[in-house]
Amino acid sequence: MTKNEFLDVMGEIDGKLIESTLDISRMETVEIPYERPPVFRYIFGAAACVVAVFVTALAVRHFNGIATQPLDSTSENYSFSESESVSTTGSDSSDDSDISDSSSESTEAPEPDFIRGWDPEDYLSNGLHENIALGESLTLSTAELDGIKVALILHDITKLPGEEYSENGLDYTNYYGAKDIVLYIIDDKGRKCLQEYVTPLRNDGMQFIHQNCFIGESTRLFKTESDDGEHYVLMQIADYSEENDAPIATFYDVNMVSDRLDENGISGYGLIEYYIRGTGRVGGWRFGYQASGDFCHSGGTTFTDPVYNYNISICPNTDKAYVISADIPLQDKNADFSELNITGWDPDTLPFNTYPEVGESAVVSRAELDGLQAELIMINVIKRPGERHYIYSQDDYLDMWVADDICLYIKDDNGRRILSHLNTPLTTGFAKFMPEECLFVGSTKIFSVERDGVSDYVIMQYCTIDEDSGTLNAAFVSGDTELYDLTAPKDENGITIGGGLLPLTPRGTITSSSDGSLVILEDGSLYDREKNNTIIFCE
Amino acid sequence: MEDEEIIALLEGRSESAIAELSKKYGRLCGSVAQKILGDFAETEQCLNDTYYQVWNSIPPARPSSLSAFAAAVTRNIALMQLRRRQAEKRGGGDGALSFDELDEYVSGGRSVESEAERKELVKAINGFLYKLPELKRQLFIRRYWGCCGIRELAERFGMSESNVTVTLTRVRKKLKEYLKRRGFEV
Repeated sequence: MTKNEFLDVMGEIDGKLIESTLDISRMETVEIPYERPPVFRYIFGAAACVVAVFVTALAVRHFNGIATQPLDSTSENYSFSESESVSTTGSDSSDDSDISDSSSESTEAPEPDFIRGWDPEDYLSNGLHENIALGESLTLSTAELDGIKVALILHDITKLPGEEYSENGLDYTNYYGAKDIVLYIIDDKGRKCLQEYVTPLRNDGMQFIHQNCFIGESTRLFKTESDDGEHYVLMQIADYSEENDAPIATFYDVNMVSDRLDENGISGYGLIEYYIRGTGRVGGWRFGYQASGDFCHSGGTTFTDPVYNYNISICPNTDKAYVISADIPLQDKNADFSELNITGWDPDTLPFNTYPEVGESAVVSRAELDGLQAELIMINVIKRPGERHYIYSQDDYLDMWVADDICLYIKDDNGRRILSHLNTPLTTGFAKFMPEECLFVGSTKIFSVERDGVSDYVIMQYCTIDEDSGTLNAAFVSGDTELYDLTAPKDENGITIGGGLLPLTPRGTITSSSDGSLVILEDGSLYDREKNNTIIFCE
Repeated sequence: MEDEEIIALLEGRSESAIAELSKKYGRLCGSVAQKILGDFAETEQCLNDTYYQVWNSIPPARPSSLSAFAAAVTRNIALMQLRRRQAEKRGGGDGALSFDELDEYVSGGRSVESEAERKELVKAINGFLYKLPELKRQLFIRRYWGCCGIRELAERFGMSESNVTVTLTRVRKKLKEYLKRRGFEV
């Protein structure tokens, strides 16, 4: 293990350990001063500014009163402080005294932390149902193990299977619809918890669950054993792939119970979801399998990721237990493919669209020359130029494309395929930025150059702009696919992703070009006649 | 606003969730990022990425502690950002983040290859940390999760720097033995 890997592993430790260490309630006194840059370049959205000023003002007021080491009055320091206290400082304690006095005299049950408005206990005994009516609330599936009881409850059914209904291109005919689809858990100590949003399909007013989720035991409990003791795992079949005739399960750790209670003494949450790879994957996101653990319960079942055909099995393991394992059949298809190299999308199936909508992925620019193709790909557009995004709201980003990923995809007529991130200067860990001016029909070019008898294919992609001169700058990479290390790791589609792209400074005479707009000037610089632009190599 | 309400806003895909998250945990996350990055502009960028990742993670994730969740996301993004910067500048790290003391502790060899193995390793480390006495746990987590410098830890806990160093050395040694007994090659 390397130091970085150790630090990465440390980054995944239990949230409770972090919370207790940061010890928010007792307030940290460490201050980390920073020097604000001479010009306040980064302007948050107006709302964020107001919030920052408000929070800062309140924090100063609060900490000057109680913190052992008050913040600097300029309050331009970050500290391990946060807003639990900040949010309460807005109210004057003297104003609250009457309220607290009157409540202390009351002998009624303590005030709930939040109001749910309905009690799942009312719908536990409905049993199996043949004639379900709209507006009913009922339990459709239950499980019990070692005193832990679980019920899947549909609260206020709004649609029954068989009724035609579609939305956003999805056909919900075979689905139940309800205002809430929840898991209600009572543990062996009598503590109650309710997990909302059990199914992945929902809109503002309705949640959906496929009728085939209720074939057999759709709710199950397992017990895991490890050095840390016993853990109970709850499995719920929460979705179903009609295409693959495969149920899709969600797994939860049931050991966490919140102390925030509703009016019925039920905690608002209490389950930690295990991520199953293949669900909700976008761009570079990776969700890991919960792929091991001994399960002391009977009933082996296999679930399939309908998109990537991964099998997730719960199957007998030798003498005592059951093991969840992940089987990735795509390994057979691409010998070099490993679980760690999942791109999550296939560039060959993306549509060509030079102006994709937010949330869309598309090939936004392409060029072809002598059977060699180059495509610029945007994955999950976060914002388009001119739009102010509520997260990437700074003025610097206003005229930019922001996407989860921006990649260059190269393929030749011999079937060689290479995919690599395009490192635009404003690349961050989770978003890629590209100036508006750099994306147009022809912003990707392929040309061949010859010098001293040596010829090269060059792929060029505009990627930055010099704000002062307006000059577009480009990245150049080699289009000679034989130079690429095709033994580098491949993704699930068999595309080489591990080798990166080979930077190349074009020199010599242009012998052919994908769009004929390029010339090399006498001083050796490259000139785009169409854009009236001398191109500077973008390192 | 309560965490539950912020989570509900995130689940309802309400953009105001970000403003509320920033309002409640922006300072905490900023502190975590600033400690690692030491640069205001990069910290701001890191916070943007944090909000974006939290937005993309919830749902389906439903953390029991939103503060810890957001802080962990920030910490991991900041580290990633720092490594990218260090790779570009070759050795741009500062003393607090060089973690030279880990050189003797980690083998530098075989990586944790599978996701399952990694999860088991994290679980084992959790178990170890929960069993540690309070002070040692605080020191260890602040150093290797929060990336605090030795001097800062010494000041915070009223200890000498050498005392902090010795304590951390012992905890590292214990952890290594603990993991080795469980079949992990650190």
